[in-house]
Amino acid sequence: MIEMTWRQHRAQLLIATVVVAAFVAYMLITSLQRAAFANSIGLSSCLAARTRDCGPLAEAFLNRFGGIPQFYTLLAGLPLLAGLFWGAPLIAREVEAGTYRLAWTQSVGRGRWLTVKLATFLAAIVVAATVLSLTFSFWLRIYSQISAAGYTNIDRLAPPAFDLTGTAPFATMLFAFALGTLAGALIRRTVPAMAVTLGGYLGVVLPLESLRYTILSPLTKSGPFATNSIPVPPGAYALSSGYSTAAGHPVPFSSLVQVCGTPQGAHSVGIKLSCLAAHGFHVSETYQPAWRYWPLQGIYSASLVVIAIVLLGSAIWWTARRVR
Amino acid sequence: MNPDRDVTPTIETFGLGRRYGRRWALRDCTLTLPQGHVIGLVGPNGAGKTTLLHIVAGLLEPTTGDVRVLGASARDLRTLSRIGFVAQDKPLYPRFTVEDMLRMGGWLNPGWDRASALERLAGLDIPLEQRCGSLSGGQRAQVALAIALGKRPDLLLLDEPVANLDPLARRQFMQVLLEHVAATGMTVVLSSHLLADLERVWDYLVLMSASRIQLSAPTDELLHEHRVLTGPPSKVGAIAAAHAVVQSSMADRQATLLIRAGGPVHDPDWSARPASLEEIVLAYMRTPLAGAGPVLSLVGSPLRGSR
Amino acid sequence: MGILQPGDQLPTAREVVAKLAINPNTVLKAYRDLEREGLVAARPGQGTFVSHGLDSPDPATFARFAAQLSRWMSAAQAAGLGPEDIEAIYRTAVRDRFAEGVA
Repeated sequence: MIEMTWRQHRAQLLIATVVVAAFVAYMLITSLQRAAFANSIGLSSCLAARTRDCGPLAEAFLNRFGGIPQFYTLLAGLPLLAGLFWGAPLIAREVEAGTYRLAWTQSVGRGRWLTVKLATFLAAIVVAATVLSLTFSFWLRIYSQISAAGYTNIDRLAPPAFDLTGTAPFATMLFAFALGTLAGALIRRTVPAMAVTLGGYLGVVLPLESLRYTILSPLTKSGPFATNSIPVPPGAYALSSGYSTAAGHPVPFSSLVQVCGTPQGAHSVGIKLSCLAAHGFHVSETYQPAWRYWPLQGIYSASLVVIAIVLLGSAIWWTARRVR
Repeated sequence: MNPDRDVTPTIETFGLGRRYGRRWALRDCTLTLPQGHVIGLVGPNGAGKTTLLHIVAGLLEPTTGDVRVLGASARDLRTLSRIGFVAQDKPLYPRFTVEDMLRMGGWLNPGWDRASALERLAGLDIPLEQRCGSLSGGQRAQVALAIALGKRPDLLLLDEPVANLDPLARRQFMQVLLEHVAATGMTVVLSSHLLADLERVWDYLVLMSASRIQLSAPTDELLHEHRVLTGPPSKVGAIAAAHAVVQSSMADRQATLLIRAGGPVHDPDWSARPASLEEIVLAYMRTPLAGAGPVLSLVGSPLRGSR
Repeated sequence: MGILQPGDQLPTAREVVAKLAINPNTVLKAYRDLEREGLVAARPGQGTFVSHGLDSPDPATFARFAAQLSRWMSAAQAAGLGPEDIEAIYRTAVRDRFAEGVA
């Protein structure tokens, strides 16, 4: 049955290998670019030494490369493809094309037929997710170092990095695949199953994007506006901000604009930090600290994996026990 | 064929029924089919033949009733390895080559007979490297048959295998199939909505119409039991009292009856001739005994001897 | 399929079926019927063979009737009958004679 699975799905698996390899190559190249630049301007050694202010060097680096490109937000959607192109057609294609009448009357039986296929794709998901996760973590390293020194807030806790590192890629890929498989088993037509998979995946994962940061109570830190920095610890992910007067009365953002706003061009207003500091305004940040990364990853991933197991179990039960 | 053969019925159904929503595709199906025969499952489209075959092959679960295949449940893995199924339209994987399909047989079935399958396909000039999607209808049928036979099943089910084949391909298909039957004693259930070409292939007939079994008997018995009588319309009543009239047609001076004889016909006013299998099947198909229950096997009826 | 002489082996059921695409049971039944009527005999492990059961006439009888026929034909020719007439008489006689025997 393993040979059969490979023969039937080798095109899908090979395409995935090429796609993942392409992404890995791209990430490695751009990562090496960044590392080379950081070395050449002395940023890496400055951060390592931790003695002086690396601010200007960090700013030069960030001006050159910016943060995490938009493109990586798309990459975070890669797991969905496992659901659309591996999961949805798995059973649906077989029923749609009528070949289930051939496959399920062979001696192997449909239970084993399905479980071997699922196990194969599961192995592929583990490999693909691990490779993606490790590669992106490697890519992110320079940014993590800059964030640790407090010069930026681009780190693995915030999206899209949170989705591309740790166990999140595996969990989202498995969830998408499981959803696709069950949709295909129930709907028995590939394209509608793909549509349902897309809808279901977005319907679960998008709300979780923000919800997952509130699973463990966020921390709050408040204080007066300083002249040049926001009081959030390094590597933290800021969730929201609140403003108040020195006495502690909350004020809306619009008040700050009223008091300290200076028009800049036709559509935007600039607010000078020095003005805010002079008026004694306070800011309070609600955030998740860096050390909450693994706990949040764990809870997020485990939830999706548990749901995926239930979905896969249902797909197996539906296919092997019940009959069309 | 072999007197020591196991006498377990190949297929036994008890009040089998299958419903889709409000429509019954199969109803009150009670059959006992013997091993060692080539059994024809005849009936118009929509009669329930495919539904019955799918249930026997373990692809469909009945709504009511029960089915035993070779003495065991149809969903049993052991049963699955003893039966072969060639579904309607002969499903194959279009991107697989013929060679791939044969390998598939070996991967998915223990005791796979690759050598015979190869020999058979070579004898038919079917190239192994050709993709199944580009095979002709006749070649597809042969490949599908080869895969089913490679399992060396005890029971082979075929759903309308020759319906879309040209006469030569049809002939070749039956030659391959029947040669295998002659060599192994395999039981075959072959469904068709055509009668011609298959009359000399079947030696047992199951007739389905309107989702019910109308007839289930060896063809020998059917041919022995049924007669076409022509004679005076005034005497039809007397005939109907002594025999089962399956079909009647009345003209002014002459009545033509197809009867299942309950005894010899002595009245010289009636001329009798044997009924052909086609006439018998058409007669039962035209006048389905809906609600009266299935006609039970005709084995053991009183009229015996030569025609 | 050709003509079989006494002692010849009948084609196996499998061969017949492969060639004619008919039900194997039909062939086996036919062979059993032939065996019952003594026309063929099955030898275990070897096959089915045509028996020596059919009576073939001895050469003397043959010659005697051939001579009778020859005299009859000379007489018919002398009476003015041509080859087609003689053949027609012969065919009718054969048909009437051997058709009677069938039930």
